[in-house]
Amino acid sequence: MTATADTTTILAEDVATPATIWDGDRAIVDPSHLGSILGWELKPEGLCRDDVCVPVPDRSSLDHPDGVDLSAVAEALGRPVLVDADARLVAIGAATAHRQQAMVDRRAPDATVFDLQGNRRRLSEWSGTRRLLVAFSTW
Amino acid sequence: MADADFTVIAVALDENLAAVAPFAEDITYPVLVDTEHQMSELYAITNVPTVVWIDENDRIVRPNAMEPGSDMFTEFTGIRCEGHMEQVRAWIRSGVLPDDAGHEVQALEADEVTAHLHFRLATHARRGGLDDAAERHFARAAELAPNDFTIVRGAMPLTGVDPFGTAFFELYGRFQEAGSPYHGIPRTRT
Repeated sequence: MTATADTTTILAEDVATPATIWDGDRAIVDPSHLGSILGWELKPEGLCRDDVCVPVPDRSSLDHPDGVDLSAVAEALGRPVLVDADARLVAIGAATAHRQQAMVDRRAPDATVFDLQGNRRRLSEWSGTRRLLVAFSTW
Repeated sequence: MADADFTVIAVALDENLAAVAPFAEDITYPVLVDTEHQMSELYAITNVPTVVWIDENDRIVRPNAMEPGSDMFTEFTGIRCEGHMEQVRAWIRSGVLPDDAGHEVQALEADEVTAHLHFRLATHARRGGLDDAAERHFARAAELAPNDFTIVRGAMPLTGVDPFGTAFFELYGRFQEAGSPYHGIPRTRT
């Protein structure tokens, strides 16, 4: 039913390569890895980050004999998911409500970017200063 | 415009850090790269150069607007840079915001977000040598967001297409026919 030890790459807040079992198009991970993949952990009260918990009405929808279904977890958080089982790649976007609310509240969202040395940086590092965020490109 | 309480943060919507490095020479402010398309997804940035004004309380005080740093393409875009420079100076000096600052920007639509996810998968597939998967995801991204320059034109240098060639003019023609859709303050020809 399940197989493969190939590396799976999960693109969410960061790029993660947790041990993953594939069941068809379903990427199954150990629940203990959810925190490092998505920033949310599975607890008895639901999916939690810091002091905030999102209840999961149907916990069984997340469970799989080998762990939890990553797509189902992402969807429970309102986050869009794209899976390419053949390429062993999963991309998980920001929560739809979070993206939309940022536009309404005008709270500048944080995001992971990289400096030219390849170091991971956060836009929030420049918090507290008036700034122009300039998106440009080489193309 | 040196000011202890003001900075420019330039973020390239690119994948190749080495390709961006020449643009950062002699520049004193931070130059970063949105390799994972997180910033463009969250800020609904669909073309460059897009400028967002953010205050010291992390509020977006003037949302997405196409603001070139020079007039090199004014004939093409109809947008001049000096007006924007003046507006920024007024904001820094006296907190005055332009009339268009209250414009409400719509977040990306579901298809546009899915396009970003395909683009992200494509860049990682490409890095991992999965060229067929990369090509498939780049193509799907372009289908889902045909007028998003960060997707369609951003993919050109990664797929061996000249970003200043025929494919670009096709994109630009389609974009104009669609009414120049842009998540941000609409600009008109001056």
